[in-house]
Amino acid sequence: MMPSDQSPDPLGDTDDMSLVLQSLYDPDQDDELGTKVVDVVTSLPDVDADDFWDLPPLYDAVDVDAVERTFFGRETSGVDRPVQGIISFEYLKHVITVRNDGWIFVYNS
Amino acid sequence: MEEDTDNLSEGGLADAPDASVTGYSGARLPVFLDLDEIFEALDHFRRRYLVFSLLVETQPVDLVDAAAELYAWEQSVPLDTVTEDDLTDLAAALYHVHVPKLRALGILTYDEDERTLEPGENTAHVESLIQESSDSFDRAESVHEQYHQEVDDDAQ
Repeated sequence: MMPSDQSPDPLGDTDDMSLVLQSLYDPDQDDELGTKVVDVVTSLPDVDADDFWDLPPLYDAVDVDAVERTFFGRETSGVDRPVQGIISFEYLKHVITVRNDGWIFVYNS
Repeated sequence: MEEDTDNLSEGGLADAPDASVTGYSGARLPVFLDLDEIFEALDHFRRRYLVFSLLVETQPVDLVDAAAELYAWEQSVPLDTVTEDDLTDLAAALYHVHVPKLRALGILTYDEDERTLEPGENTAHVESLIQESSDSFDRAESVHEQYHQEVDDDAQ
C-alpha cells in the first residue's frame, strides 16, 4: 500500500515534473470532485485567477463527472467499490492526477 | 417551450424532422442526438435541474440564480437565506462541469458575458424524456414551496 502522501507516477514522466501541491478530496465534506480540483488550481501561485469564473471550463480537460463516479460512486445497493487507480490530465499547463483515495496531485509539466 | 408534450406513446415532438428514429419511449428523436447522449446529459440531479429550469423559464436563466436555487433545494433551506459564500462551490460545479457538458450536447447555450443559460438546438429533444422526471420535480417543488411558506409564516 502506498503511504497516503507519496505521489504516484502520473504519466510515467515524474523526472521532468515537480510536485507543486497536493490536496485531499473528501466526498462527504466537499462538494463535487470538479469543484475541489478547481479550488486547488485557483490557489496555485502561477494561476492568474481571482476565482473560478476566470478559468476555462475544467470539462475541456477531463470528464471529471465520470472520474468522480468511477472512484467515488457506489454500486446500486450502496456498497463502496474497492477501486484502485489514478487519472491524469492537463489543465492550465499543469499535470493533475487524481487518485482513487481522493488525493489530488498537481505538477508543473 | 410553448408546445405541449403529449404522452410519450404518441411522441411529443410533432414537428420532428423527417430524419428521425423512434426512441424507446416512443418519442421521435432526431438522429443527431442519440439516446446515450440524452441520458448522459440527464444522468445527474444538477443537470436535470438546469434542463428543467430551461424548459419552464421564458427568460435566460442566470447561472448564479440557478446555483442559489439548487443550493436551497439540496440543503433544504429557504432561498432567501442562501449567501454568496454558500453557493460558490455549487456555482463552480455548474460552470466547470455541468453547463459545459450540456452545452457540448447542444442542450443549452451559455452566454459567457452575461453568465446566463438559454435553450439550445437540442433542448426540445430531451423535453419528452424529462417530462417524466419533471412530474417528480413538480411534486418535490410543491413540497419545497410549502416548506418556504411555513418558514415565512413562522417568521411573521
